[in-house]
Amino acid sequence: MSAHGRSKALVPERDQREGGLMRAGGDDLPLISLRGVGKAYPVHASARSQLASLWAKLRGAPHAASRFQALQDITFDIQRGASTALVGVNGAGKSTLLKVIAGVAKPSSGEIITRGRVGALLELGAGFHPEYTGRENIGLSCALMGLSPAQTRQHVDGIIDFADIGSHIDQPVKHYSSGMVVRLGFAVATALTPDLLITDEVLSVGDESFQRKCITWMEGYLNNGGTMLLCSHSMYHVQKLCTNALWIEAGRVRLSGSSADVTRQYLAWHDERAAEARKLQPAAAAAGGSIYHVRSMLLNDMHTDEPVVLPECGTLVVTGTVHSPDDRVPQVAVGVVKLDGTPVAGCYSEMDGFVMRQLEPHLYAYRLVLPRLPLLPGAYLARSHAMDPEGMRMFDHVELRFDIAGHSRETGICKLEHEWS
Amino acid sequence: MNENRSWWLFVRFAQREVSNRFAGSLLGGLWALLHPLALLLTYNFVFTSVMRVRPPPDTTVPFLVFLALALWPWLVFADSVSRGTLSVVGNAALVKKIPFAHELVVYAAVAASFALQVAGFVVVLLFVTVAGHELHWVGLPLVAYCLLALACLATGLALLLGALQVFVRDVEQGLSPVLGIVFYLCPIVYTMTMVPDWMRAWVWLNPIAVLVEGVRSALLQGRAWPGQMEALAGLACVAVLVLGWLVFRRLSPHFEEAL
Repeated sequence: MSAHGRSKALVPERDQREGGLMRAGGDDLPLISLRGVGKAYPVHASARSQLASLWAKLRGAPHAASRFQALQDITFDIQRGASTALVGVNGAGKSTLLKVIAGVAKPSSGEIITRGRVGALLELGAGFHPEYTGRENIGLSCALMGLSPAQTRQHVDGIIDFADIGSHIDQPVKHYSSGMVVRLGFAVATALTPDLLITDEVLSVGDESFQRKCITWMEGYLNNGGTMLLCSHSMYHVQKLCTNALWIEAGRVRLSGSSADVTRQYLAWHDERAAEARKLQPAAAAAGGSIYHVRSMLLNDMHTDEPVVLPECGTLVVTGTVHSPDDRVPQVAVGVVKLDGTPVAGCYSEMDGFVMRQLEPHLYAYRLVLPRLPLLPGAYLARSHAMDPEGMRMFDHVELRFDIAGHSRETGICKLEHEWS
Repeated sequence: MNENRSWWLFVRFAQREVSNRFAGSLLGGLWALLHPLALLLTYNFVFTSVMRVRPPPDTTVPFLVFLALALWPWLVFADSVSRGTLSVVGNAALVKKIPFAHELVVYAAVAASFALQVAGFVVVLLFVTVAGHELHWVGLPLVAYCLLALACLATGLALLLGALQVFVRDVEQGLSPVLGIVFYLCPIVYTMTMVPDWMRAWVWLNPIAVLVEGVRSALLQGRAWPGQMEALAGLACVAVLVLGWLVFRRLSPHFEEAL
């Protein structure tokens, strides 16, 4: 166990050619443990406070300048093999956390314990000098990643192959497209076989085929027992590559757990935010008895304020009552939208020839069963719209949220039946 | 294993530093010689043809040679301090994104300056010899000692100033005028015997003056080993190196915050 900063000396480097990189010691201690880690950046309003803070750093004393608290009280472990993703909005502190774990930034409080070789890929092509050729840049980059000259020689052909940028490899990097820089940057990383590989948003760059190549490489690395800590806005990648996820918000851990759970809740929260921003019109109950309106609505007959949670392919039963001012039989439409308002499906009693039954004067009831919902995990709204007896005009709507829970990694909104051949 | 890795990284950085200085230039490594030569000829012109300074009384060689022997050690020192001071900020992209021992970029900058300028110095010494001026090669141990002490001093200052430069960008602005003043406070274009008596003790307090004069007297008078003055100056250089290293180590974990 060692303090942060000297962590790399802890586990002696093993011979990487033998593929014997994992499971040394065979203990169950986590690869990385964070305990109450915080990171504050000084914000200087004046030259005077700048000098005072410099002096405090020299004395090794804390300095009470105004600070921007980028991270606060972060505690978690990463076990060997339990790849972890950081999710969160821009500015939540994900990149800062990766920097602190990689050892680029020093935590201002708390403790980080590392038990293995950590390789960090915070920016692809970070060590590249524009005046030199790709081949020349590979040398310094490999040295920065901790490879010896012998290891560099051994890997250089593999790196050039992986980058696959043809004769550009002998051109100065300043003539590269940004895509080529990224390809070469990632290619250099493929020479690494650390116990923990830290990557920051590297999958959001490069073209489609290169991304696939990266994913393939990462999967190979994971299958060989590697562990990754990555940060991504792609929930698909998060679920594909990671078993665990950490949702960072305003510098704190908001939620941690399996990647399926965390991404589902994270996406639901996103949809909710989008919905709030759009300020859906409230149900027009205020209009009293003068127009057609939905009086009540239930999902699966549950009287609860919490969203109803269904499994994948579960059954949703929407029941409700509609008020009719002139006591003619009204029509009703029931729709399903994503939480952010994206329409998924809608059906109309009028089209299906369904006639609502009368419960009492002016009040009519309906019950709609949606069996085997082919929706993918996420948060949705069921909406009931009151319509006039002609099915021409739509009046108010009432909506209730329901969640689909599950581990499907398919993308989109709904699950299409499919078979491969 | 770890020391080895740092060593290789240092070598790579130093190689990079050397080639950086000439990357894209047509004359390449020749510049390492051309710039000091131009300076030398200018000073020579100013001090012998315009100002008509009397030839230093205790030397037998022409002023040009006399000047060259002290100018190069000074240039080695000044170049490495100013390059080293800028090295951390100059490598901000790496410091912010890749974990490594930051002092390596300072060492590499200083080492590259020394390698280039000392190579230029050797060429100049060969020229002087070929031109028929007798140099005392027995003085080489003292020359090596003085250059080594200057290297310690330059490294120490570069570590100190390079670390401070990250937080206070004024360091760079202040450095070049200070170096310009120190140049004239050292016995480079003059000898110590020309300095008024009351001032001489003060000039000797400057280790750079002692070491630069040490190089010249070793080659012109054949002094082979460091005397008391050089020993004290050497100690001062080591003290600055230790101070610089301590400051750098304190500040280096915070570089990422300020870059």
